[in-house]
Amino acid sequence: MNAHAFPATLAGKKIVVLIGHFGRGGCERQAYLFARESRSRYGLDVQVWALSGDDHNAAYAMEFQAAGIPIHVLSGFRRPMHSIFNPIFAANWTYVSHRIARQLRKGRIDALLPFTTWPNVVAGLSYRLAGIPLCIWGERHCGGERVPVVEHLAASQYRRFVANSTAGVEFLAREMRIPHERLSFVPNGVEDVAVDGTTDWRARLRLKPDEPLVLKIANITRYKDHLTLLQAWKIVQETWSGEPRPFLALAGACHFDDLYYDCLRVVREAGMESSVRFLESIPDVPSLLQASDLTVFSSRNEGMPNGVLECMNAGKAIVASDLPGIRDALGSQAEGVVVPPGDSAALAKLLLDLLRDKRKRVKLGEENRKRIQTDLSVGRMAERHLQIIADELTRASRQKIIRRADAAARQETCEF
Amino acid sequence: MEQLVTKSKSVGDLVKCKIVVLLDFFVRGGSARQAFLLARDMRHRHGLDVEVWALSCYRYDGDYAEVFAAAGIPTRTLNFRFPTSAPFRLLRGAQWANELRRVIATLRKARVDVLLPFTVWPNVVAGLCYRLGGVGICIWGERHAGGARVPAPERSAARQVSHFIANSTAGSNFLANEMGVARERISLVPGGVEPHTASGRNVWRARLRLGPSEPLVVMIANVNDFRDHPTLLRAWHIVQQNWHNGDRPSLALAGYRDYYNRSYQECREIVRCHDLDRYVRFVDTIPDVPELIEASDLAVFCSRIEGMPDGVLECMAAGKAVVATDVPGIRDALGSNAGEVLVPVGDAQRFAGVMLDPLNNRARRDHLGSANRARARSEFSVSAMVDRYLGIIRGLLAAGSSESGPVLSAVSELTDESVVS
Repeated sequence: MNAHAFPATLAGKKIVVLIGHFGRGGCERQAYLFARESRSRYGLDVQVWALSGDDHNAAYAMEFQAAGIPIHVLSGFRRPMHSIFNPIFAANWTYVSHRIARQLRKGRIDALLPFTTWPNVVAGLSYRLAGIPLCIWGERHCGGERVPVVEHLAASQYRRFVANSTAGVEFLAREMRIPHERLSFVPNGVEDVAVDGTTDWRARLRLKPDEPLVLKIANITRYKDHLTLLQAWKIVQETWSGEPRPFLALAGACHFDDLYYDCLRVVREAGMESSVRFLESIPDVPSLLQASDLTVFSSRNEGMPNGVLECMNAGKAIVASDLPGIRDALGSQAEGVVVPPGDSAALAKLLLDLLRDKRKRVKLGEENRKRIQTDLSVGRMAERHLQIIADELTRASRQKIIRRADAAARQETCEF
Repeated sequence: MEQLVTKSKSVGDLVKCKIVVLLDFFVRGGSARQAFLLARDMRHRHGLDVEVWALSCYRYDGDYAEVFAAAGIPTRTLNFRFPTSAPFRLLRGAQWANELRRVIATLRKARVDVLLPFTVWPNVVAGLCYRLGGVGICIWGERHAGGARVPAPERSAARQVSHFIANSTAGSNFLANEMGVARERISLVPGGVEPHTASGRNVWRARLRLGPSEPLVVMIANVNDFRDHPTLLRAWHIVQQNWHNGDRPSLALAGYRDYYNRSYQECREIVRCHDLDRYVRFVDTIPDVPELIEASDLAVFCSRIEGMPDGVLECMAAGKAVVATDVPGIRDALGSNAGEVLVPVGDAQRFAGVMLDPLNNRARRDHLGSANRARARSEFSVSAMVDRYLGIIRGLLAAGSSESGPVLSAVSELTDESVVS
């Protein structure tokens, strides 16, 4: 099939991307970009649905609608958190699957693309009950979040899996025992965004003109490893001589959970309250990126992080943890800017080196920008996804015809 | 310590009792602070066996339990799972039964004599469990004046409890009017506050990157459904628009934030829409509240429903002027100073106007602050609060049963001034 044969195959088909909730995050961003590109470039009926309205960011949901993407929030989903030994474990999951399946059936969906762990699991358990011909597992955290026991049951219902990083592919093959021929690698895409010059982030953060701003864009979750970064930042602050001192801004949704309070405790104990700021999720990331001097991305487990791609796209140098997904993103530039995950001393050293060397920062930033433009565009990402969907739908319809023919043949034999 | 114990005449038969104050979580907040002050004073001044327990530990700020431990107050967490996650009724019922069974077993094992639940969930759980747990006395502690509710079993739990303590007139009115509790069963015990001690004004000002002449306004309150942070932020936008007096003032909001709370989400939208990021900071729960108050020039407290807020009492004790919402609990706290600094609930325009006055007038701020400090010292001492509690408990013990008649007469004899008529 040539690269652009899929629009004909997919014409009239309803494709739904299922995300956890409408909240700002890398996966949600990829869902948005995929849906928008598929609709505007190929005229396909692609919608974005959320599993739950619990963490609903109305402003973010409106961005989908403003881009002409129909959205929908499923009702009644609560994460069944009970242990497998709890008597209501099975009852809860059965209830959840049936409830979600009922809603999916009403949507008359032809292809369901869950992104991230919970949507993968719930979709896997529900799509056959809902009569959906195709559902593709979207692995985006390479095992960073797990749903014990149930995820294996859900995965056994899928025929096709897509991961956004080589680490994700490896995770599915090794941990989930998925045969390689069912796996595909589709890297994320990132787009050029116009910078909204109205927000003066340096003034908002009360920074002096020459105060270096270091930025991390990542939701505060356990595997994004903000703690290592904060420990590294303590070393940076202790080592830094002279004024003004560098400032660290952490942009990304945080749920004020125990992890956030652990981070706060590190900040307090190190007396870094005046050099660290948690910004939560913000709508104008490009403006903040423009205001920054250096970006950082510490993590322990990663698909292909949007927080890295956006920094690269903004032409910023990035210091990051050495993970396959991040290497996938950085390409050949990765050497020299990645440190072992959890190594705060190495991270601090690299941060200090780049904070002191503006020329190197600029050079790395330019190389990053070039890589995005050549290898990681939104168009490529959407094309790859749609091709897989088209292939699978074609295969499914062929199989359906064969099954029908077999059934007819069997019936004839019986009649004889 | 021994001397203190023998001098304290009101203690008597309480020395052999095990008293447990029951919280929902060990999270910094007014009720937890009052529990801390109550337990510490009962242990250290009266030599009583007092412990503080929390129903659950799944909500963060875990180091607050360490503060209790550091003060020599034994703590325990019951790992109670709030029965709200089960998707349908039957399962929720089963969850309730299972969780209550565990609490009852713990109470029996610990041989608790007096149970003092603070706030809504502890009240309900304690009310439903204490008799089966072999606890002699359980006193409902109404601290939010109905601001938070546990709809289904709340009334059943209240029916089991023979005596109620509210920390504000609003709380006692709520119990009488909404919960149908007889007024003679309700005692009013206002909160207590310690004299203000803080190391310096500059610590928090440096953390917030404030210049020496930038005014700082603080509100000390967890963000929840009955606090009114959104109105305060709308008022703050008006203050910013009408500020013509040099460096713009900043607002620091200290307290626990629940990401999923609608009020908090509304706050974020207001800050974003009016581009207030530079002049508004959420500083979360902090261990050094007195230092933040010390760094401030004015305190505010915006709420819809309130018991007697600790966030007001602490600012009063620090000698800060307080601009607040006109709700009975805050009137109870501010007393005769209240009229000019109180604003109708939800009126952002008026709130801004009343804030601008002391912000622009230092002499006025100082005058209001001094009056507040004097009132905090005279009316809201920790020892007075503890003595009232002990009087009520002793009365109930003396009556020797949970029958209302003799108990109430004993209590009213002991705490004439505190019984709401």
